[in-house]
Amino acid sequence: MNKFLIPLTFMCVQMAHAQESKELKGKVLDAVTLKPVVGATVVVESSAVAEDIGVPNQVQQSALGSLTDASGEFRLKVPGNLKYVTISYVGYQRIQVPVFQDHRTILLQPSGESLDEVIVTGYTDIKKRKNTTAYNKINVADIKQTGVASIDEMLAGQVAGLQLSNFNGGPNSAPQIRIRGTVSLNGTQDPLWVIDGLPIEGTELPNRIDKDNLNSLNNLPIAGINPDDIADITVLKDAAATSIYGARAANGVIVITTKRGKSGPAKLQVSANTFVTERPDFGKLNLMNANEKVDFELLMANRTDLNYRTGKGAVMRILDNADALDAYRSGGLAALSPDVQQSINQLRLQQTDWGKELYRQALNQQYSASISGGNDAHRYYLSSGFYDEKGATKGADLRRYSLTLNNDFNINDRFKAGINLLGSISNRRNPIQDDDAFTNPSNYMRLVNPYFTVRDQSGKYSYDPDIEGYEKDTYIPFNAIEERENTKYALTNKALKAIGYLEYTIIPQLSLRTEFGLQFDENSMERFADQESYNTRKLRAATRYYDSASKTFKYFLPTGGKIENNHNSIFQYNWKTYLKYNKTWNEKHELELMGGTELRRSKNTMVSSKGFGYNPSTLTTQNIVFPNSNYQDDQRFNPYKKGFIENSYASFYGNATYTFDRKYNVYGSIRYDGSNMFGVDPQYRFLPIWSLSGSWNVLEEEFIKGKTALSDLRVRASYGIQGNVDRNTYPFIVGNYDNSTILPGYPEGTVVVGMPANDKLRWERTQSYNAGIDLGLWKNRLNITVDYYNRTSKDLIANSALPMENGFQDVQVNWASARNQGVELTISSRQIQTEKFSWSTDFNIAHNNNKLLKVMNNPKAYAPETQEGRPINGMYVLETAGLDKDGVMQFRNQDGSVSSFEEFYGLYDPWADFLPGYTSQTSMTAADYRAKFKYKGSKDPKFVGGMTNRFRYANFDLAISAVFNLERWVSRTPTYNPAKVDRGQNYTKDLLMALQGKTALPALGSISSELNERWMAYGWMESNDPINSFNQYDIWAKKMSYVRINSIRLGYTLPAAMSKKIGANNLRVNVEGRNLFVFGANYEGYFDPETYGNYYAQPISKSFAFGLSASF
Amino acid sequence: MTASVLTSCNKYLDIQPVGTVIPTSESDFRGLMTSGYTSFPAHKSYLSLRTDELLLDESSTDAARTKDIYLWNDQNPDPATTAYPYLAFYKSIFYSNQIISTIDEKLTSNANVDQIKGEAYLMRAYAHFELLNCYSEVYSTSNVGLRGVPLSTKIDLEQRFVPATIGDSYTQVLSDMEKGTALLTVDDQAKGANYRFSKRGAYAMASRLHLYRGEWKEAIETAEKALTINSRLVDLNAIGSKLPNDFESEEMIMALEKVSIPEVRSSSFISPSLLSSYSEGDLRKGRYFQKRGGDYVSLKGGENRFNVSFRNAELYLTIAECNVRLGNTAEALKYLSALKKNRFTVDAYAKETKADATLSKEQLLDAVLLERKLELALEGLRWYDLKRTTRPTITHASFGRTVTLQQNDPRYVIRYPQEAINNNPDLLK
Repeated sequence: MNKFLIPLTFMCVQMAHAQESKELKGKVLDAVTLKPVVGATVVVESSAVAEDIGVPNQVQQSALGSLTDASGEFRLKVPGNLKYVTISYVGYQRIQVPVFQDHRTILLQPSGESLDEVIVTGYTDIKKRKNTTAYNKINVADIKQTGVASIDEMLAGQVAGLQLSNFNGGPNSAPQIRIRGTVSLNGTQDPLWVIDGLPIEGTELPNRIDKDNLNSLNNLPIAGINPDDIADITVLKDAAATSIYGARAANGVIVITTKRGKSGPAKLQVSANTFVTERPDFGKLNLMNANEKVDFELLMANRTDLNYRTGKGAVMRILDNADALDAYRSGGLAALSPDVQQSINQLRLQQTDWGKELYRQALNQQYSASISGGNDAHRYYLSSGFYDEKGATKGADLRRYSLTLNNDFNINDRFKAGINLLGSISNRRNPIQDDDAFTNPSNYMRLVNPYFTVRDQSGKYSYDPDIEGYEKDTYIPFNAIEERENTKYALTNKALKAIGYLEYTIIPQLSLRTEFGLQFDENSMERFADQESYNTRKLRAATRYYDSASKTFKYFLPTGGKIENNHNSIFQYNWKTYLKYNKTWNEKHELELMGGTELRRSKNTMVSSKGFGYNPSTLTTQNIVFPNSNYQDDQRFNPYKKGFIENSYASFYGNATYTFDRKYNVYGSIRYDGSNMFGVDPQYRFLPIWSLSGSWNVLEEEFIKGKTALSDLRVRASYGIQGNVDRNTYPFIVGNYDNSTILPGYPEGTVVVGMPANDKLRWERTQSYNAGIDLGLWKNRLNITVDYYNRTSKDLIANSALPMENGFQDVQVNWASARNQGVELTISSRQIQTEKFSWSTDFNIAHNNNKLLKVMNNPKAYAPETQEGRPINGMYVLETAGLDKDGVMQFRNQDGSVSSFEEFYGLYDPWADFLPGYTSQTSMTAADYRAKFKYKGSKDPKFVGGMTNRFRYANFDLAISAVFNLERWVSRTPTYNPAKVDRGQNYTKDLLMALQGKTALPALGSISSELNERWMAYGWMESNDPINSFNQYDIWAKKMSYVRINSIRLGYTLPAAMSKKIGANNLRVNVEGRNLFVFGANYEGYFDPETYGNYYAQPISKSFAFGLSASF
Repeated sequence: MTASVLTSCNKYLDIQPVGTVIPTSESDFRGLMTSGYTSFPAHKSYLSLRTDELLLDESSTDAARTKDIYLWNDQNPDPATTAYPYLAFYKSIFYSNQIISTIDEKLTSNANVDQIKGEAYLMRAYAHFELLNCYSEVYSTSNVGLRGVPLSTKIDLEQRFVPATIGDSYTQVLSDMEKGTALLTVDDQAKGANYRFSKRGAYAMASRLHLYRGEWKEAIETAEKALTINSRLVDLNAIGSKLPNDFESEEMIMALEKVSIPEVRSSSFISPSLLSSYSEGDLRKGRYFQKRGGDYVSLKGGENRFNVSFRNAELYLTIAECNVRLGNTAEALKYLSALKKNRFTVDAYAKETKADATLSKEQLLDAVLLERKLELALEGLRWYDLKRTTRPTITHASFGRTVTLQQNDPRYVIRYPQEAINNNPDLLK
């Protein structure tokens, strides 16, 4: 504990030595620019002074020190007998200055530009001049944004080759990250995250995000870390950089380094921010308002041929109730009684602002404070943070408390040790959502009639009569606001990561380091739906049964709510030990060797429980009494379930770097990963992952040295193997224990085989080439890095259909192959650098070309899922050729000719003989159907990247960062289906126009052969088409490009004299606007181009922040 | 040194995942066998829709999935239609194959091990037999060369499954049945375990198989073997008597199959023609059916309590039928009357026996077949009985449309499900 009292000790020591000390005064300047160095540490090292603390034979070591202020000045009282002080600052060479009299100016030399930057691999650090790999290092201070809870979100547009996609907005969404494309079809596609050397468990997201998992709450361990505690992030991209992580690193590695204490006096850093999340612009959705919706329903009422859900919509209800439909159809509105007209007109005025009911503007806060400092023997960093965000969608919240403690000890000349503790508690909430699409607020907002009111005149919730909430033929009342108020969906995460290390220097060239990391993640999910909620009503209806005794229908769900608790506990330890050896001969040969072992074991325990008849006041549930034994195995009512996943890994690894004459670097790395592939012969459990790479520091050559404006020129190349394994398939029959009740009252244990054995199963392998150039010009004022890569993945595991006579429909086999190749460009420049004004720019752009080299098509699929020679995420469409005279779509065939709808789909009436006009069918086989589709383009962007411009003028600084995503094919969700336009729901204004015949969208029609000559086409669109290909017309597809200005941040640093007054070294205020502008292709009908086509996503919101930060 | 490091490493990597097992113990093999039973399909429930026993309830939401089964539209069913079970048969066969191929190397023979292995053979025989009943022609000397079903007797993902002839298919079924019966050590399964094969169950299965093959003598012999172990019948006159198809009833032999699943129950009513076949004093009408609204629904199914594969009443009827066919009318009457005694009121029974005694051989055969229809109603056997006997014309109406299954219609043999053909084009060979 006394370590944290250092600031106090420091003061005491100063007083104790007051009589015999002298004062040192000076100014620290940058030796090149002669600008003041602000915040440099001037410190009396412990080895230079030791004072008697009054306890016999004990000496207190402590640091005396000071920091330079805004003008570079410092003052420090030092003991009279002191010889020298040490001055240091990040990016400068540390110097020792003999104690001097009077005032002196001290020049700090920049530390060899960025050449001494190190690449943090999570094992040994590699000096940048020895680099042979493709990586990016980001200083978190440069990318920090207010109102972003998690660091992953901040990586958008910062790293060439890292593609970040947001499928959802709101505080609980997690972005999908892909580094250099996708190399696995079914295996994990997410990068490996490493925090202070500890590879983190539980960071995988589902590979496919759909409506059912879009809004489910996940806690990614990365989200528990306060970005303020992170110093820098290194993204390892090519095989040479990632091979040290073995099999888990095929998708790239993101290494996070947290902040650590530096020698010097205690430094207190506080920051407080508030930010306002804006309510999304509801108008972007282009929905009909109450007036337009009434017009729409009136037009629909006139159409005698449109017989889909005819009774729906308030207008139709009014007409039906007054028995006035025929009168209206013959005589129009004028033919209606004044009462009826009045009721209809009333609807026009009854505009509910659903944007306000479901979304909000929210005021949020974010605070953090840290203390850091230390001396030669001990350095510390201690911080705590609080983050509270309410999403733009009502009911979506995040609150996080975090605590970080990092300690480093130099025990003696030979021993170093340290421990990091990262703890956090997060509480997340989202609106509850079940299988019915309208329970998703984002989707409901599009469906709900604008005249529909939340409450009736008496203040009770009114239930939407137009939604299709049915269970067992019973209509289930739904009200979106009631649903939100009476349900709860929350996830609490308690996380602790602890990493300790011990390093022993055997001889100066040889050291042994051991690191032990622990991760605990406790996730508690609660889903509660009170009795008065759609969720519970629906379940209750599902429990209806016919009671033979009383001859009535009864429900066996007890009265009350429904509560579900899932507890998921992740534990892992990771213990790695390695030897490092460095040796330099003749000043020409530099050799670094490293080798070691790693043991890792993780256990994931899942417990889920469910209770029914839950009373929120007594917090108790009731037992279900099943009417018969059939329901006993019904998973919906299963009260308790437990599961485990346990994995262990043992690995051996080693790498070597050899540098000749500072010019040529060769690097080799190999790692054997063994894992608990259950029952697999031990010799097949180990997979070798290796890489070989080299680089040439051209400027070190005599013939060019100092002769050009070039300040850095390095050529790099690497080759390596990356791998992945599937854990769900075994080379022989493996069963799982289960239970089954064949006869009531006699449950039996079973051994269930879920997969056929595949003895030809292999690891997925990716061969990876990389070539790159690093270029520095004009003393590295301009830096350019270009990389080209080619990654060929073979033996990708995918499902293959199996004759059912095997007892299984499909099997996982290694058959697919894919290639990713791409180019990445990173430019960073400091165009203007004067004492008053500076301007710098960071820019990156990347292009990835993903191609499937070998795939097997699912013979049953009607639409192509994947095609050889096309990207994994390809878009396939049916090419249309305009509307015919009836407003029905025509199509362009593969040969260029145009077909009518019926011809194109090969429609005929299978029942023409006995029940003509009842149903339509296609004569196409699945393969014929598949062949109709044309490849349109990739759903992955062609180019991704970002640009940040930073300006500084005197005490003002401004940073503008932008992210761009170019040429990505997206498809909008059609707002309607021409055969089943439901007058009971709202649509975009397009539909009103389609009804009025003002657009080129397909006309509405009936499926009835009596009402519509083209009934076959409409029947096909309504439900006979097995894949609803209306959604895959090319008219919905579009090439989307956008540039998002994701952050504009303006800061003002108070002059030193002013901050001194409150005792601060540095005081800064800043304002920031996030996501203020998006420039891009038209994205009408959606909130944002990034979530284009998605009806279920929470909006990505704009926010404004105001913040204060100070250091003391 | 290296070896010891590797050994300790392998130890570190040896995690037996909780709940996961490579089957080795006796209880593991029992668990595999139970999975084989659990996987067995409820195809008989769908078959009931094809017979004259049910009417489609058009207002039911489940009707969308059962409509095309009801209309015998196997060629181009609506995509929503539930596919006829196919995979599930082979899933059960897979478990059998796994047991048969590995049990001897993992375990030494004893009464329990032999019983499990015997059950595996019988399950393989029964699953293939049921596949034949659904997807092939009836066995007869003139039909042996026709297409039977693909035989699965080993686990090998690369083997091809070309349908065997009917003759070869039955050879395999008979051989498995024989091997299995010889291995069984349990004569009669206890209540709760009576979803498993016992000797009694094996004989009952053999009896049905021979009946369907027209081997009357063998059918009688095997039925008698089963009845020697237990020949009781439920007496519906007794107060508190259970339904004969209740797994706890005294005449239950094997209660494995779900013959009336919710999807079918909720989309159908009992056909008036079936209801009107029950005469005055037949206790079954009141016990089997119940009026709901204007229609009748079945009380025989809907819960796993009413699982049934074999029960004594069927054996009585088999013996009666085979004896008539062999010309032993007296013997046939004896068994028919024994059953009726337990199914009719005392008065009605007296009337029935009197009337039966006067019947000609042909009339008696009809009477026995009618009794099969009444006794085994909705137990999934009606379709097979129609198929192997008269193959009559059946008319089904749905949504205002009437479809007729013609006399001797080829659709008495069900087409292989499309999904099975998709995965195995050899099925069309």
